[in-house]
Amino acid sequence: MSVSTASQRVEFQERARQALQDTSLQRALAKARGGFVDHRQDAIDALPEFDAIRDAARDIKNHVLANLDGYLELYEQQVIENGGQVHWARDADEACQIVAEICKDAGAKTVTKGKSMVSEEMHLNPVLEAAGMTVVETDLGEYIVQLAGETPSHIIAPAVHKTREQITDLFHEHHSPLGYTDRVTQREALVNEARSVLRERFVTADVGITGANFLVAETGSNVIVTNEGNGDLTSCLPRVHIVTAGIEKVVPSLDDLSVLLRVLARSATGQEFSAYTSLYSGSRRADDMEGPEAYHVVLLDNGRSRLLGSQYQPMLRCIRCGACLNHCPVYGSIGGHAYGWVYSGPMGSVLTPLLNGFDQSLDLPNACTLNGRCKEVCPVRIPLSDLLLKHRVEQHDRRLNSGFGRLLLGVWAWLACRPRLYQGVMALPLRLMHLLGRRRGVLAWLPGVGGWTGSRDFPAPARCSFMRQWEKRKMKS
Amino acid sequence: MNRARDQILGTIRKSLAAGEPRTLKRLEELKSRIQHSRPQVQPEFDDDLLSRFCQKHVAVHGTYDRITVEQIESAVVKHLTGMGLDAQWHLGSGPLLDATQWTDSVFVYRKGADKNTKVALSEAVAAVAETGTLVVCSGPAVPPSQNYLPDDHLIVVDSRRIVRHMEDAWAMLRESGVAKGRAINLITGPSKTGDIEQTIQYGAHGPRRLHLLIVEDA
Amino acid sequence: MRPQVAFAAVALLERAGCRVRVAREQSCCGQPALNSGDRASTMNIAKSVIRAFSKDDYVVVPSGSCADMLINKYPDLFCHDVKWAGRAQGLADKTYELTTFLVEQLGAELDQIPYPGVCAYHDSCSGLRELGIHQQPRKLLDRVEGLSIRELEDGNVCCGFGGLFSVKYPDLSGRIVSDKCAQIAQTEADTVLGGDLGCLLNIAGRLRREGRDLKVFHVAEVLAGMADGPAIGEAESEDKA
Repeated sequence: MSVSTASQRVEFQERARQALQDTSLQRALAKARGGFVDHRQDAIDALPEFDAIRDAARDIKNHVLANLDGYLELYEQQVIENGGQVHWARDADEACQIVAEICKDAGAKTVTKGKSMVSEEMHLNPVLEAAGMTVVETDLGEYIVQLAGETPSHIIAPAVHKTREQITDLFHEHHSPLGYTDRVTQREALVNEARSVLRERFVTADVGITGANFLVAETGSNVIVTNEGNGDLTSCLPRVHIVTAGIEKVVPSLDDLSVLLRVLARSATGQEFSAYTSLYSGSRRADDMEGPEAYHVVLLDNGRSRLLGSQYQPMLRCIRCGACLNHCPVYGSIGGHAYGWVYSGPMGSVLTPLLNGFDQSLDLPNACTLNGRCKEVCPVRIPLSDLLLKHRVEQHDRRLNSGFGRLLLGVWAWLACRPRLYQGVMALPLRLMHLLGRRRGVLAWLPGVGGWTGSRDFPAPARCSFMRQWEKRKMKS
Repeated sequence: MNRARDQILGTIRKSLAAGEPRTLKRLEELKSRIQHSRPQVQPEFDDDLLSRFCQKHVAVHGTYDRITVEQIESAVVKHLTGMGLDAQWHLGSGPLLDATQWTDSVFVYRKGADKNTKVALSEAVAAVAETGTLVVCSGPAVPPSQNYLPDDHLIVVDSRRIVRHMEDAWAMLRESGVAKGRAINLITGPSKTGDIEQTIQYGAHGPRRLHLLIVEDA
Repeated sequence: MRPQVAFAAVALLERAGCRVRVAREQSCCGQPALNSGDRASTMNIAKSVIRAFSKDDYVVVPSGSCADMLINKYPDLFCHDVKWAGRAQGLADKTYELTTFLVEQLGAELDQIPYPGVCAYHDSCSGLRELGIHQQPRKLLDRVEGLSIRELEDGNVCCGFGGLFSVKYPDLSGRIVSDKCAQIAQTEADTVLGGDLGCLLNIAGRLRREGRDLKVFHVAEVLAGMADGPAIGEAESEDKA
């Protein structure tokens, strides 16, 4: 699907503007930001080995990526040995078809879902619903977002943009038909109501679909990291357990897994360890008391394999912790929906153009100050801001950005290579700005420099440039 | 399906190429790295394992009693009575639980939990002092649903099974052959969520409370 | 834009015993071109910068982001260019941001020129993260009589300038700088100091729009005792000497 570049720019700017004016979103973002940032800092302060563990995490991921085909094969072998099945999907459509087939074969009516970013990327839920199944998100944040008919706005906290009042309304609207007629407003009561409603779903589901924070080659397991326990209820109770995962999720051994687990929870929420970290390998064993009869892993490529060997390979190290989102001033101002796709914040701005095409998301790499905090906090040391700059180079080389902007920049750069001429040419507009602004010291309105003066004054330049003044002084002495 | 597999692996190989064909020898090398896997950089701490474990467990809103092996039944009953609950629970399995002779005044259900289950009593295969984590593995007498459906989860822990780091637990699991079982559940405190206004609430979907019975003289 | 900064930098260097030459053939470090993805133009500009300073022992820059260009970005740009890689590295090796140069290279003991003020210090992102500039300006300001520094809550968060970002995404930029100004206001400082004029223009512009009367100066101006004139965004007084 190709959207014209002009309308895309409008889309992002429009979404960002709406987000900036959405007061309840702004309140929610401010609260979340403080929490995540402070807790992460506390966790790191308590762990002297944090940087060394980050280096080890990066190295493990790099090693896996350099040998991804081999580790995928070893992982697959182990899954099959455990009695599971592995399916390979080149793109989102193929993955959806595979999952839908499995569900249909199982005669599924109700499908519960643990949190899976990949399944959002696949756009899976509508496909299953079109096949007549009821799909229920079980992570509380995802559930709230599902009720609202929206998409998640944050990797770790999908409903971070929702206030308690909004959640109260949603629950009242959707749960009353189920017999929950009281309108509950307190947090504890809201959580209890969701617990009760979703319990029914957990125990009646035919198929459970989860994601995978990691896939362990040694044991053929998928690993899920949650605090609620919903992922485990989704994995354990239904007859069929399906795992959707990107191909880059493999790690070699349980010891490698430990390294990554140590940086994941700390970077995401500031916890040392989540309440529930589970490894699931294959279907129930012959003598197990309970467990799914069938275990399917759907490995999704969707453009990841192309990134290997390219300058963007480091992006595949991402463990989806959300730290970059939490520390980004742009994400912190507009939230996740403004990014227009599943992945948001710095990692979304890097990944979206790579998976969807450079011409599909021109704003994302540019709506960034290149301040580099994302790079600083990434637990696997992905040079996120550097990759965003590489996106800008791609856009420039492919002539994807606006003609007028290019022209202006080209002229400016041509002048900059001719310093005396540059100084001469710049003198005029600077003198004009000085004259206009010297009474107040600032200009309240400045045409041509975008909307700088929409929210700020522009300090008036000096009458004469430093170079001119320096020349004059030298001539005097 | 096979075509997709071939294409994906093919693209990976091509992207990574260096012209080098991915040989069987390569695969063996990777396998060997897995087999000879060792712990890497770990958080260092000197603390006594039991006290560290208990401290971490309490920090994540868990409770515990330190008991002797004969006290298992009475400790469970006392805990439940204290909460106004009956002396009945779903029961898992492990060396200590299996050796316990339950009296007639308690009801135990050796089966998977259901949505009305109030209490489950499990036994940990290992406990990790680093993070205050319990390890429970699925098996013929251990249904994972007991870890997640009940309101109250009690876990019996043999204090000799408290290890320092996560990797020590993996070593135990590998040795006893359960590392590749259906489910390895690592449990650290009760269920919680911060999804409503970024404020922690306990008992999201999993148990509201996690109580440990740490047996010190098994 | 603000010659006072350059004059202050020259004064500081001369007082510390350096012979200062202002290269005539300089225009810009080229960062706007680099950050727009135009590597070719950036390289052209870089070449003219490298040439302009080829004869100097040291190149001192009163700006973290410009210094970052010369020190880190130029060598990276030319890493595949056999002819220019060495020259770019040569420039990088002798380039320093101003406060770093004063503290680390010269070990300068500055005159204790007073500036009685409560100053919030803003660390620019490139200065902080790319060049490790944090302690150096604070060490120098420590010697200024009467001056006290207030650290900003979230001091390591961007001010929202980001070069062309501020004009391409002005709403976003405006929001980020207003958050920064709110934190500045919280410190109850009467002055804002920093090492990068871009950030300072951004912050001063927002403070003025909010009607706040804090003075905004480049740190060099205060260190050189040249902070008695109009601050950034302040009108020149009617009767000028």
